Amino acid sequence: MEKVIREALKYAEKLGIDEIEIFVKNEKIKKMNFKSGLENMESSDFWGTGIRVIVDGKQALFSTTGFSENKLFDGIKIAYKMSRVSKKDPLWEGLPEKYGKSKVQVEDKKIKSSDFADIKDIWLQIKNDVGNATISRGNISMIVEKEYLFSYNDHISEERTKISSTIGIRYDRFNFQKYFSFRSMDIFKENLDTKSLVEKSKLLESAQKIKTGRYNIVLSREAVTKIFKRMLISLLSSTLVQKGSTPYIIEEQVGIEDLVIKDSGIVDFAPGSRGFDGDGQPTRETYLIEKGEVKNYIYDYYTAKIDGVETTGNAHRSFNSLPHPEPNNIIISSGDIKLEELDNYVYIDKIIGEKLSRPLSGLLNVSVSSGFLVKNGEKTPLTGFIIYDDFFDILKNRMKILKNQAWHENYFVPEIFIENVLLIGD
Amino acid sequence: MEILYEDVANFIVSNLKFGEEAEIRIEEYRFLNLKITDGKFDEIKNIRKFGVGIRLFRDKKFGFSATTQLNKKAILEAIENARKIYNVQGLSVYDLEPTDIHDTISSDFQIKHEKIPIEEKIFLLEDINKKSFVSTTIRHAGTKLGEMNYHKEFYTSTGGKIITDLVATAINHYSYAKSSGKTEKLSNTKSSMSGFEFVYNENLSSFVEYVSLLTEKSLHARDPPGGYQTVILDPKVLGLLLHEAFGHPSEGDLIVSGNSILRDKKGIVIADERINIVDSGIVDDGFFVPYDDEGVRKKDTYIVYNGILNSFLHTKRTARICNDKFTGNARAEISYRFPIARQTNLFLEPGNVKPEEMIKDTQFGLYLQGIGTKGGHVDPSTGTFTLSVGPSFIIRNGELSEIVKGVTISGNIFDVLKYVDSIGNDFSIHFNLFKGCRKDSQTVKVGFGGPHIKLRKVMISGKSN
Repeated sequence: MEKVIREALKYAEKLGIDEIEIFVKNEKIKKMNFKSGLENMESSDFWGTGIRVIVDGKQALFSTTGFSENKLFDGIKIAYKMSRVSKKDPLWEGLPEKYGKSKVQVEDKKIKSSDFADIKDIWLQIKNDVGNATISRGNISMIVEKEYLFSYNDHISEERTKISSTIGIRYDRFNFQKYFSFRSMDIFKENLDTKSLVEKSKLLESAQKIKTGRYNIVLSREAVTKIFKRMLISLLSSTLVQKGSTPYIIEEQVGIEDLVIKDSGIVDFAPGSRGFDGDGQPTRETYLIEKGEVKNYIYDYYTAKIDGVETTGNAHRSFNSLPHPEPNNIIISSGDIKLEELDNYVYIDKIIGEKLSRPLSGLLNVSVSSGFLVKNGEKTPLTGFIIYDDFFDILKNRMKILKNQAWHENYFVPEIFIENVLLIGD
Repeated sequence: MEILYEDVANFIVSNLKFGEEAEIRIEEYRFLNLKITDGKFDEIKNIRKFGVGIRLFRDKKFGFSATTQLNKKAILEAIENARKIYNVQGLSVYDLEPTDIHDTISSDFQIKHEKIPIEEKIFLLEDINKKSFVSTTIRHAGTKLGEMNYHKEFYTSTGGKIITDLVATAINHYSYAKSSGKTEKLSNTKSSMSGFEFVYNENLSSFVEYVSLLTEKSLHARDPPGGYQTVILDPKVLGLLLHEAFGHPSEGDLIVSGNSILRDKKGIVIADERINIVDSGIVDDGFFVPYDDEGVRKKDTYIVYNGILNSFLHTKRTARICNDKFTGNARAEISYRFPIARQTNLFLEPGNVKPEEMIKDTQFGLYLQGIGTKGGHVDPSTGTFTLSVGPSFIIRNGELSEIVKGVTISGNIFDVLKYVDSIGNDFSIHFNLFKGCRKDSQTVKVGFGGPHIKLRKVMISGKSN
């Protein structure tokens, strides 16, 4: 492959292409869908090629699935033609001169050597763990991915592994579903807590509606992830900052004193970890919020050049998209309060529709599909109500951070307590 | 030399072992995206996807494997992987339905996309974009042109061969307004199963102008009153509601896994008796799905008939488990993905009331518009759904009154279509070529719509007045 790409780079140079970047991704996926019985298994060998060319400051991207010599040479020709009609970018300062990789473990031999029979064993273990409850829906995917990045100046590659699973448990009528994803088989197994899903689906059976009013609430880690992703982290992207589309300004106090949030691409085996980003730059750790103050934004190479700062190693890309800044892993530091010390609150377990909130104005508007009221230590299950409040005020004045971080997707977060929140129900 | 996909299919069939049957999907998807920002050409993207998906069957067992590489080695490896899978997987209720269907079908179009030079497309699009600057309040505007050419070939070792060609064109436009420290951004999409004639025939200048006018108007709009309200939904909002609240919970995989609240409600009244909800593969202005990805001809499926839950949306496998007929709803994002139960075009059949009469008969309520919607979401297991609507209007004393900002509506599947006041005699369907419906990491294009509908009790999020 390397030989073919080198030939292609020579060909691009002959055509008169000033800069070129060839991104190739291969994913070998073994997947199983199941419930109490096995549904199906699938295997795929996916290749994708993205060709980005720059001619006289004009940029074009051609992408195709598959990788072959013909596709590569044809793709370069098409991208070159496209670049001639493209717009010149006055802010363009060139592709990175050098690539680099940070030290982080993202490759697990156990995942690499696993076969369909091993996936079947995990499913049998899950079946055993849930006892009398029903697995209403589930899947396990094992992925071995390899990314290659080539330019005239340099080249880099990395192999990563991932195991992910969605599991839904039904006790009687209601399902409770959760997603797990890690780069290591052992960490995946440690975090695969199917027993708590059984308890939650059991509790949902007698769910009631809540009366409209103001309540103290505790957000589950899943709810924290969804709300913070939508209302805060997405607005720390340098792309939005440079368009003036963020309310979060550097050095401004936006959260409580205890709020510390960092992005990190270098946590061993975490779902969003990788040695280099979509620009071929080493990943790192970046404090975004410290003591409630905005400290940094999330940058890729291009947006960092515009602001005259160093990239934070956050370029994400697929074979058919250009690099753009996105978080690697988001970590919210834990606080001092234990959940067991609290009483008289509504626990918000699962929410939907967070994308319907308005992050720019701070209007938090999400539907709760499952939760429970805790009063005098007793739990009353709840469903079907709305959280409607001012997220800016919550962040600055009304939240307390609990002492129990855990992973949800690429977020390592604790539960969060919030005072006096408007819940709209009956 | 160009490789014939039929030769690839024959190669796969010739490598089957005794007792094996195969279902083969080979597809090529092309998408060109041109973007104009603030009157000037901004970006061009050219995306191609190709893949071979092979499902092998033997003795009531099956295995699926796929590759994006079109060479003998990769294809033989895929066959071997499918074989490994059916051996590990064990028995299934599903086997290959022998089919000898031979069909070649294409969506209608007049002008091939590649016939028009890119420079001309950019010129036309820049002109359209400039029309959206209706006043100095509009600070930014972006217009995208999307062109899809999707070639699908489906073969079975039992002699089936279905060739489908889909050609579609779409425009997406956003306007961003700013005045007195307030900002508003709205976007809308118009998509059509047609070639480049779409750009010539549709009045796209008026389309972008309207987006700007609405953005400008809603800049200083108030939030609508929250709580339960009487509402009239336009076809786009209704379609989105049906898609989230009835379409997803009717999908066969959610039914057989027990993950849908509708799973044991067949034959039960779940809506007003005037409600008929249909999933159809071929409908004017919808996305074109003549066959599903298991080679089943897509027929009209009544999910709800006269208010009674009537049918689910099935793959062959889920239909077998439920002892139902095939409905032609097995769809995959592309040939290298496994087909799962999906909607095609979901709509409510029209009634007999003119939309203007509905407004006239309303003392106080909201007219909810789909332009500017951010989509919706459903938790099929509890029946809770939520969706966003664009800037809308208060109805006072039978007339459309002041504009209000977009809000979210939410509710439960079993409540929402029980309080129907009237159903409109109009009808329209929408699909969005730039986006789609995502499930199990697969995005497919779906259409939805219907007539206007007036509902007496819908939960609007927001503070009550």
